[in-house]
Amino acid sequence: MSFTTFRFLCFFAAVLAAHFALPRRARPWMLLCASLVFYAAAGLPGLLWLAGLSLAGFLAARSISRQQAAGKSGRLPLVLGVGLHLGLLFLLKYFNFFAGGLLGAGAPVLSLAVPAGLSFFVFMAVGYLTDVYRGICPAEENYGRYLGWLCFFPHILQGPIDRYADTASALFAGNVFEERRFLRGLWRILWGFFQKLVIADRLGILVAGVWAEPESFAGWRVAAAVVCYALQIYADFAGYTDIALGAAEIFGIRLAENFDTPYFSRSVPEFWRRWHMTLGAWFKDYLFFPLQRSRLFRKFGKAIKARFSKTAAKNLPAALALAAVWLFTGLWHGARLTYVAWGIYYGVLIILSMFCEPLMARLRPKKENALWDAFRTVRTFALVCLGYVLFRSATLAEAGVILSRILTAPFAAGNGFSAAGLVRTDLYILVPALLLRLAVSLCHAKGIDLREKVMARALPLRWGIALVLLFSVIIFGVYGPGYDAASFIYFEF
Amino acid sequence: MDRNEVYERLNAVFREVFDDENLTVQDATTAADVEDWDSLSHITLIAAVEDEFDISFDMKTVVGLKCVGDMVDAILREL
Amino acid sequence: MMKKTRFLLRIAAFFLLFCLLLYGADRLLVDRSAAPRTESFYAEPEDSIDVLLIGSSRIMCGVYPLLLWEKYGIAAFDCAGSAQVIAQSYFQLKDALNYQSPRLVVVDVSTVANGNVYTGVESFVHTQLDHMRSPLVRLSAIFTLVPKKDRVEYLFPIVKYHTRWSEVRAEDFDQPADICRGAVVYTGFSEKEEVLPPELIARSVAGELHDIPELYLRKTVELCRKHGAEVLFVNLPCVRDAEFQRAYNAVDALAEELGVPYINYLYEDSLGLDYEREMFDTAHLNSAGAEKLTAALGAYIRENYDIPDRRGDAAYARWHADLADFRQKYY
Repeated sequence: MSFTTFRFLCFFAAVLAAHFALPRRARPWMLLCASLVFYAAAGLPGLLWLAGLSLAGFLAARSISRQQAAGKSGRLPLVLGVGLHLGLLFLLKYFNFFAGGLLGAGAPVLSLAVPAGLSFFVFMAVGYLTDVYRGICPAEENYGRYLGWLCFFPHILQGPIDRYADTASALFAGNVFEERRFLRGLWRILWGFFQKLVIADRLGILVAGVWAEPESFAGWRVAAAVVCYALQIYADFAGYTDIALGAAEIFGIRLAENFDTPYFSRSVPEFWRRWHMTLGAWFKDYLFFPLQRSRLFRKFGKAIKARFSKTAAKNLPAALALAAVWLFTGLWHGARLTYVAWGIYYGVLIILSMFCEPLMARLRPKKENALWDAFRTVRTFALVCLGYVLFRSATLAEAGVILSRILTAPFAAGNGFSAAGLVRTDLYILVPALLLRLAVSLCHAKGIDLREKVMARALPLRWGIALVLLFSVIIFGVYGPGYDAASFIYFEF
Repeated sequence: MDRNEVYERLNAVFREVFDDENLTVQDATTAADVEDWDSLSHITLIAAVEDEFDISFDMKTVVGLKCVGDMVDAILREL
Repeated sequence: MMKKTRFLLRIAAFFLLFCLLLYGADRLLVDRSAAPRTESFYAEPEDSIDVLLIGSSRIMCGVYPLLLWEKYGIAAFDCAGSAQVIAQSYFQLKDALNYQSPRLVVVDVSTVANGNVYTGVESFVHTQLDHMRSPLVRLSAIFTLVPKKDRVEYLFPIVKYHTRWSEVRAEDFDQPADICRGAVVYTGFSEKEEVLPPELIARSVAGELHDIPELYLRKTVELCRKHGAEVLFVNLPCVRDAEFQRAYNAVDALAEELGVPYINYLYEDSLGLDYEREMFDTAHLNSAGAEKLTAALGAYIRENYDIPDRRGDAAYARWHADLADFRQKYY
């Protein structure tokens, strides 16, 4: 069930009413049932996979805990549990991709439907199992509570990728109704809808139009479409995240933030500390750290130190670990060569920036320099956009066509943007909407809590702003007959 | 070993890892206070500390370190 | 507890305000190209219409209420809709009966040939349902006729029309009133088709009625009788192949069963219709043909039904003026 549908609004209203009406102790269980209903709307087979995996994860975690209490390491249930989850993820999502890639046309093909949100909840479960093993959180003794956390409807389909230790207790201990939090959550949801329906889906029309026939547009228009895609995917995913976090906030649960005004970043590594933060954090804690601290890597590091320099000893193992992280980050986004290439692209950029760090430190101006910072921000954004050419394209060939069009025919004759499906009136909506989006980002970058500011205003002004936003979504939103359904970009992952 | 001794050796480790001869850390120092202390160098730092004191932290401890003071406590616990 | 109630009241107040504004936005953005015609029906004084015409665009173009008035003093109104199938006409009639108490309902049965469907062309269905004024009838029509996945845009027309925000003009709200009493006048000939007289099959050669149109014809008759109105089935002249004609002929059996007279004008040679000059296209009469047909239908009504002659009635004075305008405009 996509968030920006009438169906979801009805569902959410019903859940809110139930949450308000039920006694506090019943609320978590109502949320569990609601989440299951929500997930079942995506298809019954998916629900079975979810039930099976969640049960396996629950039992494995308990087994780890029991073994560790008995003095053993608990490694076997950990390996089995993680292996099962990742193995199923591989089988359902990647088998065909790899089989086809390795064996060519004659490869066997698995035609099982991928459960919605698989990549997300598998990662959450693996994180949970690992945290139990590391002693960071105790194993959950109640299956209903574990399932309730895993399939919590705000985060099951597209994240954020939460940690059990952070969010589970709120799910079952909190649930007190608080007016201020309720309103804050609603404001956040409204803003999410605005970003998705007014900005993201509108930009999506242009982007799809240009990507379908890049050669009928001048290179600069194609480049503009790439920039639009950067804005689209941000509005889309951040919009989704806002709806998820807003909804959770209403129930008194604090999910992790995914974005920290990423396009203001001044370097690519910084960008990845501000974009899809929960994914980056997951790979850091569950792939990068374990690799770096593994005996193999440390032996490797010592060997390098002996033969080369201290810096190399620090950098080479890290580079290897980073390569692994970025390969899998790319792959996680989908069983498509362009995603892998995109991951490798960032891997190369980040490894390079790591090796060049001492050089950059010497070149960097010593004092705060606004011009230099602006240059770095623009440069980072350009690099990010370059990556998006890969990310958005279905095949490497398609990405190649886009790039070559930009580079070889920047001012060639071609169609106007209206051929891509965007009309002048769309511009009248997009420009103010994007400016609003920018203004909000600037406020966030400065640490201003906009919702507090708005909620502190007098009632007519508050209601006025809410109604303006609400009707902007209703009237200018890209939905209904006359537009193709534009699903959330991250839904396929 | 007492806290001051730990700090003597710990400062040496920090200076080596961050390549800064003037670096001195205290209980309240956090990652934000030291330039270049990001997740990459964090791992190197942990490994260097483990080697220096010949101890081994478990992941729970590593994840729980919020400031240098925590690190010293953890070192003393392991010794 | 007080705090919670105050909070709920504020939520309710905001929601109410929102609904009011939504209704306003809806009215602003809804497509109004068909508004003059549909609004003219509701502008008629209550219980002033004696004959209602329902069905598809054929009867809209084939029978002119003002000519029925001119010759026979019959106060008629055409509530038909473009491409409107029998099932939808039933609801259209139901809505109309909330405002009028006709003595006779003339039903254009031609859409029995459209198949076992609940609706005709989507955009027409939308406009017709959007302009229906009885909320309960409109709701039951939406839930009966429209497939589940499309209902939201009917329940909330703004879902469909919100994109019109850049096309709305002040003139949309200032359109001249429609005086034709629901008729649509086509003069001349369509450029798209050439009309030749139809090849008629024997009237006895009949197909079988589809379930949905049959059900709703029965319901229409039942509804009319419940409201004390008589029913007349008609099929207007058109050029269609044998399969369509078999469908038209299939109504004979039902009409007989229900005791409803059925005039199939395809077989009324007395009409003397010149297909090549009096049809606009293969499905609609032009003004010349409509004049003929209206006269024939009016004569039949005057002869067979007790419909008062309202020409001397002061309450209908406006009709004389409108007739004069109508004649001047089209003839």
